[in-house]
Amino acid sequence: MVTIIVIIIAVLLIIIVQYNSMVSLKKKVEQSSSSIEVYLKQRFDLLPNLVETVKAYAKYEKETLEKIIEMRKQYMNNSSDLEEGARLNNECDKVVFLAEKYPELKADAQFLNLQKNLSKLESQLQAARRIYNSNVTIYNTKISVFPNNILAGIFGFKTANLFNINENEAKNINVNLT
Amino acid sequence: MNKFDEIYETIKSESFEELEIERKKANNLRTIPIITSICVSILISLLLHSLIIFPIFIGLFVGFLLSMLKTEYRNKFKNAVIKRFIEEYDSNLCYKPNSGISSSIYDRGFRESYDSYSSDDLIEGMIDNTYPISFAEVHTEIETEDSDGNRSSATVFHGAFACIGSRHNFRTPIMIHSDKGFFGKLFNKKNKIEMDSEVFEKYFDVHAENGIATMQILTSDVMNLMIDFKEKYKTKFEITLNGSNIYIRFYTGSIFEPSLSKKGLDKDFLKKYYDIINFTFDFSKLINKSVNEADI
Repeated sequence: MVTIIVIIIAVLLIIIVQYNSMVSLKKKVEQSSSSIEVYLKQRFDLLPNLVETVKAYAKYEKETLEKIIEMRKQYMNNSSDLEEGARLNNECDKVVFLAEKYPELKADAQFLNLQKNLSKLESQLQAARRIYNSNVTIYNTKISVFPNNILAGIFGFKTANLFNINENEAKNINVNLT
Repeated sequence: MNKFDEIYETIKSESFEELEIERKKANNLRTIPIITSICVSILISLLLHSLIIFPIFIGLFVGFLLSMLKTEYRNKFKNAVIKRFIEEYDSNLCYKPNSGISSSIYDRGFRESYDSYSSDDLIEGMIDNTYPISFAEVHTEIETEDSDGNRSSATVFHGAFACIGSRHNFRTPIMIHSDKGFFGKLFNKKNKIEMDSEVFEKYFDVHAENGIATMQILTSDVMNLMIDFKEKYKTKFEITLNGSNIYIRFYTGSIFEPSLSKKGLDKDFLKKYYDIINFTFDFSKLINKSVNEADI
């Protein structure tokens, strides 16, 4: 009888420890996700000014630029969607890369200032992304291994998605000007 | 031919014959007092029927003579070989065997309690004519007392320590220490940053208040450099970025100490220090580069 009680207590303890550990990791993922949102929003706050500056030089891009502003509006209304944020972030980079095709734009003081701020935020965003992905990997591993996967199933812990900006894609964009 | 081989060949081609004679002399002489002392000790013990005080006295005297011989050779070796080696590595560097780094600088990098502090073998200069560097041997000890009241000293840290300037001011420290294992991690979770490299996490623990800045500074290039050095040389080392400096310490024990039984221009001996200094330079350059690029 005593043995059974000891075993039950031990099992309960393991469940409590593992549950708390999973909750703590989930919190970390949520916190790091919030950091990404903060940097994305800071970047997107610069978009209206950026678009206005670019418009003055790249008149043929009006349609593309308006589409980006529309995407920004939608993101701001339905925030917390990291995938949507990543897409808009890539569009944001496309606008910056337009300068390669318009030398006058490249020399514009306001554009240069915006570009500098955007790169600074991009660097912080990349750092936040690395923290988030690192936390997601730890969390996903934790809830996938036995016996945690059983507990995760019971308590409703679901795997989190990694946040991919695709740096190379962002840095090698060919803007279609036709 | 890589840079180390070039330096080695240059130094080797210079005349160190006098130093080699000095070493051989010291090496040969050290056997004479040892044999003499053993003989005298046995003789006295036999004649005076186990009067142990004389062998002890002679042993101490021989020890003193040996250390004199070694110190003389050591000073000549450092002023000839190490000085030239450092000059050849980078002409902006200056080697002062009898100077060291002050404890106040060391404390800014690594806060830990100790009772005695000593430092020598100072290398000073500039990296790329931009960042000041001080590199020296540091030895810290703590006094311990057992239940019987006997006091003894235990080493806290003994090895190479470097302090390198940075244009950036790290407002809160970033500490990269050797992995402390499961229990070490369990009790030291405060401000722990989970890095996105499994191999890096295997070797190091990073603690910092500002996770974003830490990630911006510890780029994959920086982490790979640290991993490569760790895997290649198996030397334990720790890094702190604090204020406007980068602090690195290597658990090497004594540095630049020649052995009487090995020839003055032992290639492996010099290569070890070349790699440590090289890593210090490369790491500092990379950190300063990532700080500038990220515009932190």
